[in-house]
Amino acid sequence: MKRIIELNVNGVVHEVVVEPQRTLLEVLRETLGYTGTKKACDSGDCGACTVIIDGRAVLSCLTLAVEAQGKNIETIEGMATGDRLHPIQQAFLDKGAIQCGYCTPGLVLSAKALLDENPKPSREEVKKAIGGNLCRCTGYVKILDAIEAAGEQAN
Amino acid sequence: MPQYSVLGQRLPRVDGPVKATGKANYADDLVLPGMLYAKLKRSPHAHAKILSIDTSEAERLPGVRGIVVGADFGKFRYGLRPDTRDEYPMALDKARFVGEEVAAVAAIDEDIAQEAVELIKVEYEVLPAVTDPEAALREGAPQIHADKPGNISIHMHTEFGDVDAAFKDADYVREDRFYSQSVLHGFMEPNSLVASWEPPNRITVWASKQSPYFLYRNLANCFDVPLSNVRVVQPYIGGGYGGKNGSYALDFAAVMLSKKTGRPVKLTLTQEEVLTAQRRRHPMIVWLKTGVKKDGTLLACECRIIADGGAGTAIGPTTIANAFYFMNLPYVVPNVRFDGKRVYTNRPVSVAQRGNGIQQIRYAADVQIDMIAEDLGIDPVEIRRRNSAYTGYTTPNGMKVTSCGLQESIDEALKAVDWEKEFRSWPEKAEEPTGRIAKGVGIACNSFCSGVRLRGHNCCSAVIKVHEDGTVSLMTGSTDSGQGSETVLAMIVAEVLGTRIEDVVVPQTDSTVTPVDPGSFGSRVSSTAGNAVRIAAEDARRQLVAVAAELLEAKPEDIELRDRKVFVKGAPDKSMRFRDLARLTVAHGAGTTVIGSGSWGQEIDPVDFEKGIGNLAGSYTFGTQAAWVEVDTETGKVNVTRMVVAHDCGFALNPLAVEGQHEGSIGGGVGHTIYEHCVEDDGQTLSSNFTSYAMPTVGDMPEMISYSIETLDPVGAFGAKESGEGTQVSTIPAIVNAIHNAIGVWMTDLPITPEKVLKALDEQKAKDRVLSEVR
Amino acid sequence: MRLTKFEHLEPKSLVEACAILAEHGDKARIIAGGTDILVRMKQRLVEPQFVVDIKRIDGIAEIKSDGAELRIGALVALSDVQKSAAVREQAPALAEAAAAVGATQLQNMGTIGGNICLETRCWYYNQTYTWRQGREACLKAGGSICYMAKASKRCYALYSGDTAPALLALGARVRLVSASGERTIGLEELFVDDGKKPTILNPGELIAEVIVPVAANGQRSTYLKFRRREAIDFPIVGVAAALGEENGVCSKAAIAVTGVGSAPFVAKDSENALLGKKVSQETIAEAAEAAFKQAKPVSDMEVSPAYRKRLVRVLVKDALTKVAGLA
Repeated sequence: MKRIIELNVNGVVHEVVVEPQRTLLEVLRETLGYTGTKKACDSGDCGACTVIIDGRAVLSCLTLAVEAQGKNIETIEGMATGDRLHPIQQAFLDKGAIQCGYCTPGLVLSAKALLDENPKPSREEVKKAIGGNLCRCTGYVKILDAIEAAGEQAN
Repeated sequence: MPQYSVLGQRLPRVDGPVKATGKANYADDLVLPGMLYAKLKRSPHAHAKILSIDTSEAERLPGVRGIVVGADFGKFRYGLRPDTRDEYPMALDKARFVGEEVAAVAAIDEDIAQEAVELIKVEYEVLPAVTDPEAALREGAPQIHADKPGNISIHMHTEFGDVDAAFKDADYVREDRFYSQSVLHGFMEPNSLVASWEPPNRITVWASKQSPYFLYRNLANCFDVPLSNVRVVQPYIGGGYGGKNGSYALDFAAVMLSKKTGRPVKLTLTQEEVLTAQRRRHPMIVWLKTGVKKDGTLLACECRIIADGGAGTAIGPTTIANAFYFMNLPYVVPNVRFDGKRVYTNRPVSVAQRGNGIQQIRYAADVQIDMIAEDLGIDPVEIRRRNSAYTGYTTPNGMKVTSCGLQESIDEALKAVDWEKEFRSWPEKAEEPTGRIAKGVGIACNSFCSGVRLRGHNCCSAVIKVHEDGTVSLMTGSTDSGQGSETVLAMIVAEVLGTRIEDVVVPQTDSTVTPVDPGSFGSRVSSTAGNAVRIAAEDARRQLVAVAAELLEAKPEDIELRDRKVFVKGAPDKSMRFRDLARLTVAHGAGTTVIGSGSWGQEIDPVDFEKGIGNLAGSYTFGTQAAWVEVDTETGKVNVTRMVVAHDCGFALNPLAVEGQHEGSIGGGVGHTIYEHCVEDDGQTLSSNFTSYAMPTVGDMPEMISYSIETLDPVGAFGAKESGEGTQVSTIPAIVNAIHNAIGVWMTDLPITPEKVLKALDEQKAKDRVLSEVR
Repeated sequence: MRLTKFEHLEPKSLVEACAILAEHGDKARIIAGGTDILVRMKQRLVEPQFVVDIKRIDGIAEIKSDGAELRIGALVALSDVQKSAAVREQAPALAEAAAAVGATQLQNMGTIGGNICLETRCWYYNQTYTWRQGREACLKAGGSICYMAKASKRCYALYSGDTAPALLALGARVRLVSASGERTIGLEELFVDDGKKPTILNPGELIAEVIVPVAANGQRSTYLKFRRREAIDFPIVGVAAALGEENGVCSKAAIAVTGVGSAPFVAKDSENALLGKKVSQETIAEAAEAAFKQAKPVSDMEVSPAYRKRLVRVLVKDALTKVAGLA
């Protein structure tokens, strides 16, 4: 049965008609056009679809859209301010942490959830925060460097 | 070192902002008006005759707009060469592996397409299947292709020098068997495309292809349309590593569905479909026999390989040839004999993956050289130095080494790891207690082809358009699947034209607009496309300089372009802005729109794949890698803690990008060595998701340091050679050698799971016990 | 992978939830964190008509401590379990186990109740609908064959939860509620070694709360997980150990193992090998040997039973050595 729900994405409230079986990932990408959130494994194994809900990094492929109602959803599209990249995005760029870019949005959001809570994490803490984000291009080294650099800059 | 203003800088990638903000569009992000969604019906059997396909019920399902089956494509088959065309767009008479595509449905949404797929009834006669390449070679084995007796997809047998005499002369001969397992490319973005057929005979596809031009040709042939009517547009590519080179069933199916329905069709695979039924690396059994002198000088190698090709040949001939080509490099081996069989099995098709065929042979050879060194009591560094290739060396079959920094790479790697202090050979440490966590260090060297010479279309081309505000467009058919080639090619343009990288735009490949290119494989882009871009930029520069000379009343040879300005040598008062020059070129006199163009290909003869004669590539890279491992001797778990790479890339056009390539190669290599393998039962893949197919996570990666050795190769663009694949080649043997250094066992069966390590340790203990009893 | 249609219900109280579950019986499934059920729904291993979202129920999302017991509501996220000061102090094994689950996102989403009730897993069962069409249904999927042990009449799907062994070692109880009332049982009683149905939960019954006795003075605990990768993976073997010493001898020993059978098991013989004795390398080795003997792993695609058994010995030894401070 279709339902009208309100989704607050990056501070903008969208009224959408959804069926309960739709995942947040599907609604973000297909209904609302937030295609920056990537579908890779679609079963909770890879972190590419990571978004932040109420301050926490979660997997949008395993979240029902109806259950995200009334919560603050942050996606990659909400990170930059106008043309100015968020410091984490800028660090990913400067440190060479992006290659094919498919895992990047999920990683940036995992990093944001971490740094919002713990602005100066140890390398081990960064590793734990992004342990569920698979990347095949980079070997992760520059991603770790970027997140650490973004953390230092924020301080 | 030459002084450049743009090249050699650690510049962030040009597509970084669009990727960091989620604005980069990948194929599945695209939506066209009226677009349909397609799903594939796949064979549940590894080998089965298709008796009938009943689509009637599926057709009646509301929302279904079109269904295609193999018969819709007639008898069209495709493949790399006329004699290897063994793949149909979709299964025709029989299915040859679990997951082979049998039918496809386009519907108004994904759910309906999936429901319809399940309503299609396929009647099969199940045939005996063979999923092991050695079994497939036995007499009486099920025959997978009627016209390929004995299940031989490719057989290459060749020999250079006098191998038998050399073995007779050898002081020491050793023979070992190595196995490299079935691993996957592991790209995060599942294969995807949007296809649109425009009557009467135009095709447009937005497809996730690292090499769009295979598809461009295959679609033209399959649908019988002129090449100029096949428009392959490249969206951003979410990783390829060799797994998005070719044309696949989904591509043909989507185009045919669009043709049938008159609507654009999107077909995106699920990751499960990718992991169970798409392409894979060739599993390979390698028997390697090597003869040496007492001092470790290599005299002869004899190699026999059996490669599991899966159900089709695809680019298989190159895989087998590559294994032969890299039997010796990075070393000098005067006498070589090779027998390589690529065998059909009822498994998904094996193709190139980062290191195509070279990985498997170099893993064997660079572990065996450590074995030999230990047997003869020679230092592993010493034996490598002694046999090192060198600038000017030509291999017995004709591969010409135009630059070689192998010795320097050994120096650099050893320095970085403090080898003298850190390394003691296993025999020296064997009697000491290791403690629970045994530590080891190992090295390995590699060589790789930089800019493979292709037998068909070989050259790369570029077109440069200067806009009147001084910005520049670079049109090239070389694609960037994440490796950063767009950035590097833009840097070349900025360098030659004296502008900045932010002034150069590299639109993505569009086969009706951008020059035709062979594709991004064989480590070709920087070296080969780089030269084409250089020539095109020089062409544009010449045109600009001619106008500048007139405007500034100077001789063309005195005009200098630097940092968005135009100078006259020796006349500091005469200068203008580059953008003004660009504006004036179209306005001055009759006006000239500056369009530079260039093509470049390796000026070498095509190789003879039958016998392996000839020069495979424009140049060759060399590198050395050192690995540290810790082995838990109670659980068998191997932890690679640190890795050093020193790689002769000729010239690092962008060191940030070069490092990224090494780190990615190490990532893939660590996965291949320790973590990954396809788990199968009767041809059905059980490791169907990223929980069960264990690609390394961040916590499984070593710390990494990489160094570039710059030998300024005379062939590659600005002296550059590849950096994208060579490092993955030596990652495996470096780790295997380090494990041996830690615990004294040789791991010759990949992946090196904890259980295998414990088993090897048990066997070693049992052997030691027997030996001590004998004593 | 699309989910099939269902109705989404959001009870506001346990009573309401239980009534819904009682009404719809097998047609209903509970969703909390969703990290396990939604994957199985995408694979169409379960296709409920009603999905009962219990996340809006009050009162079962908190951790309370009264000095004698920790009461952890079933909805508490695994990340909150590991961050809770009370849990870290009183039940470190549980904090460690919660931190070892999957990955950060899964810990943020997954709940303690859901992790305890993690469905058993198998290479042949946890596959998509399409994949499973390639062969006859297995025991767990309603058929009559177990592909892991072909001669077997029972299902050998593996239990892989991380928090259950920690809770077993800590002597936890669970409060179960259903339309017909509530009961509180020892966690050990919840599990049965049957891959097809690994808990005794009745239809319509759910875990409301986990009750962990506060550790006696000097009692320490830990959870060690062996897996291929540092994240994502389920345990190949996981071992929790709790140890108390009084007057120089072991006064409390509790060891529980996961990843080996269709239920987590308590290594009773190991405990007996330690109780009343001085905790030393020798007695720890005896305890580890006892666990080794008690473990009866079945074949798995990833590792052999013999290897898994050995891992049990190593992990029990390591866990005890760590809590005894002998490392």
